[in-house]
Amino acid sequence: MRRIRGLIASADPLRDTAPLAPSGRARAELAHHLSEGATMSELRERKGGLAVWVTAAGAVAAAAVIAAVLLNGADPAPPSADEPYYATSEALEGAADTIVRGSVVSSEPGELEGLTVSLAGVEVKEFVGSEPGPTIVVAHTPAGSGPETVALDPGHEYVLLLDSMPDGRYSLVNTTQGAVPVVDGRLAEDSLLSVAARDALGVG
Amino acid sequence: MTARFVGLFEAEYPRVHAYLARRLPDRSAAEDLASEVFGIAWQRTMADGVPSPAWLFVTARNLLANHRRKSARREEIEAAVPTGVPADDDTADRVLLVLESLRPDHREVLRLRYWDELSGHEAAQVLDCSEGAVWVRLHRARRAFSAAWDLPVSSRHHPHSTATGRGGT
Repeated sequence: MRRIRGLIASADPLRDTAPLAPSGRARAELAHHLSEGATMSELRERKGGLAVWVTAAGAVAAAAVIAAVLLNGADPAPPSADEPYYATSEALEGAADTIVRGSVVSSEPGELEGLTVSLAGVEVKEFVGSEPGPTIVVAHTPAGSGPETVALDPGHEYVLLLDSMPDGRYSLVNTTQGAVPVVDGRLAEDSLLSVAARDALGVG
Repeated sequence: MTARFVGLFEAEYPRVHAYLARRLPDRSAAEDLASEVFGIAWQRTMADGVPSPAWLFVTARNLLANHRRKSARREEIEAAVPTGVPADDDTADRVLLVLESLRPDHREVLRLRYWDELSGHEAAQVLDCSEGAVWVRLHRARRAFSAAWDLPVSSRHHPHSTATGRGGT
């Protein structure tokens, strides 16, 4: 198969551009929206009495603090990798066709769209989302081959957030959030995975 | 809720801004529209809760369409190559030429997947189709791209030429 992804990516008009982080103007506009929203909320809530007004005033104060953070740019920035980053459980889980808990039973070099990748065979124990087969193949960039890589070691267990490919194989939704080691039935790293998903996968 | 919205802004603004910048020749217009996307998103957040990233891209797509309709410089805006591709990059130039020769739906699914790196779910929202249709369309678009890539240059200058594949989704 021709390196179509690589070819098309090479013509990306923004390929040599740093991620387009929010400018000062964008942050200022958002801060304005947030403050406006909080003020509207306050006015609505004031009709309900003092107690809710106090709550609404708290919301205004919170929005003001967040606005200040936005304006100062002191944000909880995601990792600066050139791949998607998901800020919420909903976004992360929504990006995955299926989420599996499984053990890596094999790992071998392979090719994906002209790129050298590792193909990990994974024995599925539990899943959430679209049903995968009992054993699936996950294509990933092997650890040590660049900045956006992940290690899936045979004999180890992981929770994998997966995107299905037309050829039946899977890829991780990203390298920073797509694979979480499982040790003794628990996630061994921080993850935005929701409580419901953890419960369904038996790693709650 | 406000904190969740700020989290969404921090995580998704670069992607939404890039999606718009790839499709507009004017970077300041792309920034304006990106800000507008998040202004609308905040209104929605107050009414219905924090929207999904896919919803942001659908809103960006709609704003982009409106912007194009209103613009007096339509031909310039619809140019395939916005900015940033070095003129001496033969491969990039050739890829852009091949992309331009494809059907619009094939071209767009390739851009969404390989430039914007949208997930299948997000691309489905933007293209207003099922996720399964995205994969089928992507498969056909890749085939069409591959076929067009192998054509002689003289055969590739006509947008939407029949040689680039007729398979619909």
